[in-house]
Amino acid sequence: MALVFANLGAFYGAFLLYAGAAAAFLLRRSAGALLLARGGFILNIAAVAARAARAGALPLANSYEFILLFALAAVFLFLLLLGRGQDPAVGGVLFSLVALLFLVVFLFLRPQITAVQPLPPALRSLWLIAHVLAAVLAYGSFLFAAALAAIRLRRSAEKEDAAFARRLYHIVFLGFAALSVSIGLGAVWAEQAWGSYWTWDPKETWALVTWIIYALYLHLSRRRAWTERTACLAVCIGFIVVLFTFFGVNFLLPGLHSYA
Amino acid sequence: MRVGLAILAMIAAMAAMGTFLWPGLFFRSPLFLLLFILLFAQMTFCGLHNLRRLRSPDPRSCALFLIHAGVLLILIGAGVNARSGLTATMPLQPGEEGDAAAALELPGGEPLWLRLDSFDITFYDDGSPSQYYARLTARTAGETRQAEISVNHPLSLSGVKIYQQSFGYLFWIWEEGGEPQARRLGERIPLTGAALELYHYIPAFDEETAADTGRLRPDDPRLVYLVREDGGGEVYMGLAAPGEKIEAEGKTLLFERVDMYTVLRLKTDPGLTPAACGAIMLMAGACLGYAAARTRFFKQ
Repeated sequence: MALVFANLGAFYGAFLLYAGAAAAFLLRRSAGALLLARGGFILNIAAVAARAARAGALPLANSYEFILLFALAAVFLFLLLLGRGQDPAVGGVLFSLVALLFLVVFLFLRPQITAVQPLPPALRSLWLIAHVLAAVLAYGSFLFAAALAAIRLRRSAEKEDAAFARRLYHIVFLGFAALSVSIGLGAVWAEQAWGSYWTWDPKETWALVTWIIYALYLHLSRRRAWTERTACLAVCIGFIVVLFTFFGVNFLLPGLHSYA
Repeated sequence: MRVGLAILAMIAAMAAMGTFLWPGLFFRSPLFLLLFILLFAQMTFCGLHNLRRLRSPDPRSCALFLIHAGVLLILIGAGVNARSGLTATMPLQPGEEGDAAAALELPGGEPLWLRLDSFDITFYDDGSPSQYYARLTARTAGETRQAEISVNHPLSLSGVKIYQQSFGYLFWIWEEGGEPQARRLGERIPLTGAALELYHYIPAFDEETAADTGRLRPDDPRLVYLVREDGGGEVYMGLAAPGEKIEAEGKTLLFERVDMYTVLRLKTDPGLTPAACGAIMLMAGACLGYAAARTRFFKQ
């Protein structure tokens, strides 16, 4: 029971601190915002740890558990790159998106916060850990890239910045590599579990659509005709597709990944 | 490159639409296949181009080559599978033997017989299934071996992979004085001027609420049957537990027990090796590409 309360407390605490960090960043109170962000990050880790202790395994099986790790990855990247010329204003967008993810859990997935279901047979595999962790890193990178791009779009009057373009490219490439690994390992696992490495299941299909969108971005970003504004728009559209791949497919298009 | 990117964009757009519009048919449509053939041609051209750049190798060129060659191999593997891969499902009840070679229509006449020795489900404390185990005896021309398969642990034998796919129930129910007989859900037993249909199975029935608990563990099983009068007349429903007698339309049926049968998935996939190599190259190439981009990023 103590773990249930620890999990609940850490989840709601992280939610509030992330929302506070978003507001503080948007109000340009960077020092306070960073404090709240770091506090939220620690509580986010605590929520994952409490969940892992309850489930007896890494929490990777349902939407709530995935969102905990998704947020953790995005915030980790933000904090990691903060000292390297990171614009604190990016935090306003990033923490708003992270708080929105937590809000979705609160509004639509609340029973998953307290209930821990044992793993169905198909999920009892080491491939699950590698596949989902790679997806978490990919989604976290894409969220971070979308926050960078959104802030840059707001300042479109400023002249183009080569260092920003390289930074965005670098973050998107991290997400793209992680997504490639996630899809590849997922295919290996599907071959073991279901006897087919690709079935055009909605989640697989939308993961492929996401992969193609970011592949197009990586190809086109090296072209002269490709402006910074177009790049930022592409990254934001890519993230909308990422969100659809996660939420839209889970809620609207049931398939083999229905438990996710 | 423009053509290749346009094809990729079209594949993404069509795949996205396909998840909403008749997904079963859409992904097998000639137009969708044509896009992949065009992508294959484009990737071949691109792969050859990248190969030329490898004469003076650097991490970025290697990454590009690995990614493009990887996608190409995956497409080759998928094409070989679509052309020569075979799949079949085989329901087997304990003690039953099935001809897997015939089910798959394997060319060459190599025999492969599978006998189900036992089938079990293990459960968690909450009654949900934790694993499905099928113990098999497999017989080929040269050997007989026993193996256990479960979800995530298929058996590979003579180029055939055997998966634990699903399962079903067998109901030992017969007319009093007749021969014991195993039947499946949906079957009808003729009565006088009516028929008894095996309609639904509840593994864990809750007596207090008279409802299905939804658990799979057979804590208190019930068979739900329908009695339908011939000619579309009246229908009524009944419940029976194993060991009970069912009195219906002047006849007595013995419902002795419930057994389970397994459904195996059998497949051959000659395209799996190139596709797996392609996936490894693609993943390695993407990671190498990121490392190369990262190095450049921090240098600048």
